Amino acid sequence: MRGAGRVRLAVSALTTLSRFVVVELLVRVVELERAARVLGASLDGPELAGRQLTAEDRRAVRRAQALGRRWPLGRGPCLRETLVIAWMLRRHGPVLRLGVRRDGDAVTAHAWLDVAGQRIGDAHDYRELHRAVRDTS
Amino acid sequence: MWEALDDEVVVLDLRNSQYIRINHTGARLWGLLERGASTRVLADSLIEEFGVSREGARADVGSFLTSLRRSGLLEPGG
Repeated sequence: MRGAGRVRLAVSALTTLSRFVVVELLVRVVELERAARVLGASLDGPELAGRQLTAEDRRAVRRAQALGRRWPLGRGPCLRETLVIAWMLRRHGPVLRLGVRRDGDAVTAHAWLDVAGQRIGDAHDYRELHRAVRDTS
Repeated sequence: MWEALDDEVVVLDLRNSQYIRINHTGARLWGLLERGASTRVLADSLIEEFGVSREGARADVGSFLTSLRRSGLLEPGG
């Protein structure tokens, strides 16, 4: 059983890693909104209510977060991590949130997820982005 | 997608995931656009607030709107 557990863990880790690779490629070649949609997330709208995350869902989130902290590619590891988690939790109808905050003269961007009534990713101090302005000029 | 931060506006161009910072003057125009202002109202606000000529204001508004449309930051009006 111990061996089987180790194999399961290795398979899960490899699966998560492969998801990061796919997401990395996707965000480089596809518009963000389309990439999110392909992975099962929306950029706005209400999240689906009433479905709780399972213990396996939470483990998958922790795996993605652990790998996201070490992900060496791209300028926005939080976006990659968030999209990977959205993909894994797509049956819950996750909503991708994007925000910005001022850090001195710089502006820092961040991504997080609202899913199954939970916020995944620290959104502290970040102000969420709104939809584009409608052209009425 | 966008958000106002103090006296500027930060806009995310969803096509390339690039963030664009719009300065104080642009932020003023952006705020009016958000409320559905016409080109004339935008130009009037520049004249009133910054004392520019009508021709100058029209040109500034025109180039601002063109750059926003080119960047896909204005959704077609309904």
